Amino acid sequence: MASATAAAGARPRRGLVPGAGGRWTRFALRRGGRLLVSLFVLVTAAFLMIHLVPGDPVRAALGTTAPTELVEARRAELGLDDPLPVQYLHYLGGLLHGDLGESIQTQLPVGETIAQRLGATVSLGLLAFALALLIAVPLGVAVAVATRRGRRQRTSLGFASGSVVIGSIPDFLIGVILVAVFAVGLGWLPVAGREDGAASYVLPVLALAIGPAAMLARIVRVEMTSVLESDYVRTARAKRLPARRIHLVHALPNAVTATLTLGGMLLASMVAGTVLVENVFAWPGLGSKIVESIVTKDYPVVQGTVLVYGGIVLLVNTLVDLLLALLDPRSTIGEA
Amino acid sequence: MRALRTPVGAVGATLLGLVLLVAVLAPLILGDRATAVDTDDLLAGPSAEHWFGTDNLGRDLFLRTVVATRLSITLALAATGIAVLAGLLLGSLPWLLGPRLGRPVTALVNILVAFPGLLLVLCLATVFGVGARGAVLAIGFAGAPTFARLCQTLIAGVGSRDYVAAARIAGVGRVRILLRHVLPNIGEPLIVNATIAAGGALLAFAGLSFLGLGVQAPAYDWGRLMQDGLAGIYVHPLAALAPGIAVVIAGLAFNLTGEAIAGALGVTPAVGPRAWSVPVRTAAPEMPAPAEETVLDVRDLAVSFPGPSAPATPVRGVSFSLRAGESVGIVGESGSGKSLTALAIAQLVEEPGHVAGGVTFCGTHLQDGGDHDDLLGTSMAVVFQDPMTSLNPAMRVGPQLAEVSRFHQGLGRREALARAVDRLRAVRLRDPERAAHAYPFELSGGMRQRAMIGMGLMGTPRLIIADEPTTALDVTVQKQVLALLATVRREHGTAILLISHDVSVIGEVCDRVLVMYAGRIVEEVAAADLRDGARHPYTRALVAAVPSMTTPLDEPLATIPGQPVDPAAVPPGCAYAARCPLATDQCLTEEPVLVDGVACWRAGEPLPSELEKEARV
Amino acid sequence: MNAFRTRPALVALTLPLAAAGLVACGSGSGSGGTEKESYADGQAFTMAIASDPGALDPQGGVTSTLLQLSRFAYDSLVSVDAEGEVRPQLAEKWNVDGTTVTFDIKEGVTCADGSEFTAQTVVDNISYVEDPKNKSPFLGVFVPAGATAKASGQTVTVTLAAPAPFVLAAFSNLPMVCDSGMEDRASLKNQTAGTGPYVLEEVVPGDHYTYKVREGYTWGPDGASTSTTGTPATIEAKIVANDTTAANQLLSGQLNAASIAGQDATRLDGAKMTRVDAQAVVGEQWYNHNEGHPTADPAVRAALTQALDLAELQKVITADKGGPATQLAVVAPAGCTGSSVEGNLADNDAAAAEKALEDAGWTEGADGIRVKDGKPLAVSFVHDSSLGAPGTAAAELAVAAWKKVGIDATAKSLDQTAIQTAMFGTGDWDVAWEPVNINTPDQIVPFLSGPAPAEGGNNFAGIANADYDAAVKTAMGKNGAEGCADWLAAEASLFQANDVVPFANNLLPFFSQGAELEVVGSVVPTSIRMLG
Repeated sequence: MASATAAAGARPRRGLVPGAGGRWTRFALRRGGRLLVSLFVLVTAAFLMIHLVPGDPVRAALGTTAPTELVEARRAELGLDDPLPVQYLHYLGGLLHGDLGESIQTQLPVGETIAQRLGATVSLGLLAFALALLIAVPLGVAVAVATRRGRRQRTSLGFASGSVVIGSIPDFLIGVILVAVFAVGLGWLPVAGREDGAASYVLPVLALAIGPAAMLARIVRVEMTSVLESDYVRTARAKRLPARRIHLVHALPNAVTATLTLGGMLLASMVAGTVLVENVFAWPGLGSKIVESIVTKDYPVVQGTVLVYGGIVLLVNTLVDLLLALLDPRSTIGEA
Repeated sequence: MRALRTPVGAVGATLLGLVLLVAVLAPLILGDRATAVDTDDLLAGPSAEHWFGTDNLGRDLFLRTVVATRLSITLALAATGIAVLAGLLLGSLPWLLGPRLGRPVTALVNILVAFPGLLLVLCLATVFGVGARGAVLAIGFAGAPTFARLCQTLIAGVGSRDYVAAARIAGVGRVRILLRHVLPNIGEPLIVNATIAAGGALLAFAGLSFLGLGVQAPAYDWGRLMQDGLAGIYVHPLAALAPGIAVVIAGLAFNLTGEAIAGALGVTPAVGPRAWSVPVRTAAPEMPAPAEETVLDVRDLAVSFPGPSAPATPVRGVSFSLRAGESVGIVGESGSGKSLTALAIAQLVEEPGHVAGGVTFCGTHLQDGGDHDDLLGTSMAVVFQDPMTSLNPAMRVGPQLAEVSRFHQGLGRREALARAVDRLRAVRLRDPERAAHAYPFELSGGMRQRAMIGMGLMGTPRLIIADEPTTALDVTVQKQVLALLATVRREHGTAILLISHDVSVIGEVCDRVLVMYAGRIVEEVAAADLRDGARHPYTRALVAAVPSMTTPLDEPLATIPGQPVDPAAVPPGCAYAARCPLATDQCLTEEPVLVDGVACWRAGEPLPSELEKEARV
Repeated sequence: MNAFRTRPALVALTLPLAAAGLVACGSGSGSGGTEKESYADGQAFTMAIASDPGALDPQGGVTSTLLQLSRFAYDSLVSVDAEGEVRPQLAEKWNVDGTTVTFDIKEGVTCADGSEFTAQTVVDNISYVEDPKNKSPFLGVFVPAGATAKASGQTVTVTLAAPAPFVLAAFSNLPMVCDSGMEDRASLKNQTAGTGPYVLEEVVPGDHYTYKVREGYTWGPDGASTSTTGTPATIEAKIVANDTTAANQLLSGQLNAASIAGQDATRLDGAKMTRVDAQAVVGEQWYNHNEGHPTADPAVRAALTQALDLAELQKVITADKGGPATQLAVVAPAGCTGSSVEGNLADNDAAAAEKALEDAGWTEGADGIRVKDGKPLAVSFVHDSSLGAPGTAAAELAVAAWKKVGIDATAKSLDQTAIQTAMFGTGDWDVAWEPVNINTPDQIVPFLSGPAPAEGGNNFAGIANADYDAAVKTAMGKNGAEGCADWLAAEASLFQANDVVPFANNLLPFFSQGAELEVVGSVVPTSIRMLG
């Protein structure tokens, strides 16, 4: 604290500037560097993870009845008989050229396969993520304000039970129920598929968003409740500001800090959710592909998808951190 | 246990109790019947004999759902335990190792978190082998990174707080700080998250069973039952929904209980149902017309809170008034009700707190139900104890001040900011432009407290209520802040109500001192007479506890024996009687009222210690 | 994830080479309803496929979805109809004489790009598959290994390395690629270059594949053409991994056809749908005959077989929908009819099982588990997880039955990759439930005789049955169905010796609505008629 004072005094008094902006840029650069290191570790981990798991992918790809010579030939061709370090170097070399390898199952380039399916999954995931936030933040804030300091016990109980009940239903079950009611029962929306435009998005996005939204709303509520008890909110009340300003300008940004931290993880869990939801809705995304390739031990596809998924999640986490640093500059210190 | 008294806690605990009871008893009582095979009646729908229908071997699905409780719960709890422990370990490592060694750990955690959970579970399940044990380890370790990251964030937050910094400067070891200061402070979000995780673990087992990687036959948990039933969801929906409902009920039990425990730990103050009545007059008492220059007049002020059995009233029958430019101190031990009195005057006591009595500010009766925000916002300023936490950490200082003028004086953003800079200059902040542009954490404690006072000066304050404004500051800064308050008083004719437990601070700044004990004013005395002219034994004990220039250095510092009174159980008679060396039977039964500036049956009588001292002399 | 539990249950049960999934036992023609409906032209036909085929090279993979899609755009030399009769397609005449097979290619057959389809193109196709460098999985399966071909005029002469009794059935499965595709092999991954009735129009990987009808196509199976009334203008194959979803789409009219098993089939039975059932072996118990396994002892194999109530197991594993096993090759178009199983499997007789064990020196131990030379009678029992809940339930039943006679079986549910790794690689299994489905009995011979995988063969169970080998030798010398009696006799000798125990056939239903079609292995493209 003392040093901040000294620094403030020592700097030439020109305008109101430096401080925050420069610090944020430095923070962003550091985070960018960390992202690169993380990606490298991710690549290595993805490589090792798949190769250490037993099971012959070629036999799986070619079927039980494939002649043994054929299996051997294919193994050699894919370099699966090389020592692990050699395979690793080949893999890294390929990556540097943007080559993710070729699927053992389908012989299609992995990069192409991922590119074709990524859009469907990302659009689904982002819409669901946005919807979850749109539901959870206002709901969590409203409930926190309404029930703070032990008020409205019935609302509190209702929210707690409701959010838990909804959050405890597996998303594939939510999907199945939504389909049973709105598509099969009422016939309002398509049963599955992606070719009906906006209408085809409604049910999968809902199926994916409802559970996480309930969970997130709980977090927002807990955070908001504790922020509402803080000294600076009392200060804001002492200033006799309108309630809306106190809640939205003084309390919410502080509550959202923790929420966003969790939001990044939420995205990762949604990625897992897409696997199940895509299955229920015959959605042409990556989610179904990844499990399919894990089950069939299609190394190149698993590596590629893990890399893309992990990369996206790392990127989102970095963005969340940067956003947090903008909202709450305290997080940029202590990292220098 | 307090947690269980709330409706949320009660429902949660009852459910959890039921679930655990079923988990223990069901396999013992129904285990055999749940495995009885009847291949002539396989995949039947619900009937009187089989409420939820039968499975692929004709076994009763209702019984199987009930019996599966034990395995499902055991697995979920085990996995959650592993996740929390491993996460806590991994999450506290960066803090324990310090920034240099900790950074790789942080990076590792970030990468692990980036792995979609299901993927991690799949890979780990293959590594650990298919089956219940592998699934528990897989789900447990897959959940660990999330907890590690959560712990990291929480520990970083707590670790940057002043008391932790103080403990570190004092040379306390990191492990000890972690155990004593950090972990207790992150416990509550951890518990909330662990309960969510326990529910989540139930879901994860369902997901693994979906892939055939979960519990293996002949064992069965809800996940396996749900998966088996899902194939026929349109034919026999109950077969899949019943175990699904069981998952939801168990999740509900975990979560509600956890939430209630978190609440009891202090997320929200645990307060019982609002079935309380306060035996205090809500209607304003008849007020004598306050004198012309009176800024604040308080009559019979009482603040009460509902309690589990009876309401507690930490402030009772407080009456006093302040003239313009006057400086009055309220002194007392912590828990004496002085801060609550200040909040009540400032109209900042929130529900379920209940304020009775009358407060007249600048001739306006504040409890007449009208909107007094502009009056209070511009004419009454409040300075709180901890400048570290009283400013919004996520907002620059300038706008925090400017708000007052924007909302109560109709100034535009730019003019309001200009006034904020001007006010910061008025409170002698060096480089006020920079300060206005800074975030609170970039300012020192003294600067922040000046900013708080500057915030009060945005309007034209008639009264500044300063609640322990210097307690969190070091001695030189204390003096500066007190001097600033004195200057404001002199320049603006502002009345000051200074709340402090520090008799010497009060003596320095105030004209008059109100001494509070157990929610009442027990003595009112001119500041000049505080040291030598106080008559109440409590006041004298407070004064004696402050070392003065005349206190012999070899004499142990005087302390007040005994504990302050619990506001929920105020004894009859004088509340101080139990600690008072002069107490008589009358003191224990009859409550003294404030007469002639003191509320004591034996006011002014010499204390035994004084007699002793005299005797020695 | 359901994809790997429910729907591909069908795929998994049947080996890829057997054109899984849509195998039909009977003719699927007719709308099922009694009232006559009129056909409509210019319609779109949509069907579900369980998984994405990936690269579309028709000779690059043998998954059931790829075989189905290839059939739309490519023709074979001959076709086999629902009755097992060989019918002309690209070849109008053929002749099998020992190791020499000749095909006379029809005049005027053109590829989608307008070029002519010649005998030389057929030769190129066969040469391509025969070249090990190309690693076509058709080699040795749909095209006998070592075969050579040469063209003269419109006649193709194929010379086999050894007699192949079902060679025509094999060629009916080989899609013929046109010259443009042979020259630019890579283009076949996402385009078609065939003579078939449809041409690939749109590819959306993971979602759907759309085919457009070809005008002037007249060389379909038995002369079928695309000018017939009711021929759809487009065929869209949608990827729907989840059975329940596919059933919903059928009901809502988003799909015209889908293969749907399990309890969803029950639901569709109630709706107005046309149903065609396909046969497949679903319950097939293998014993590890290799040295060091308790199952190497014939007495143990006998006891393991006799301890089971196979009828009850069949009921459970097919969810009461299937029937008893008949023979090893039941997938349509099946090479032989009749039963080699009936009367040749040991009856359920726990006492006999116990006696067999007792006689072989396995005496009752303290905990009820039999012991011989201090070693307990413990078997590792692996079953395919794609058999789903019925499979797991049946496995539970089997374990309980074995326990009763003193055999300690540890059941493990493994996914297909894992179970194949165990069977062909590690050998870490004693008893396995892994159905192997084929069309003709000769296809399974390498699995029941000859060298083990380690020596380059496929005899993973290490079976050595002299009677079977002898009967196979006789059968191999006969042409096609003429050898069926010998084939059934060969299989029977396996069952009598408890070498392998098939115990359940399942009916895999194929549903359609709004269209008529025939299913022989997969949907016959030229048989589709849209209803108005």
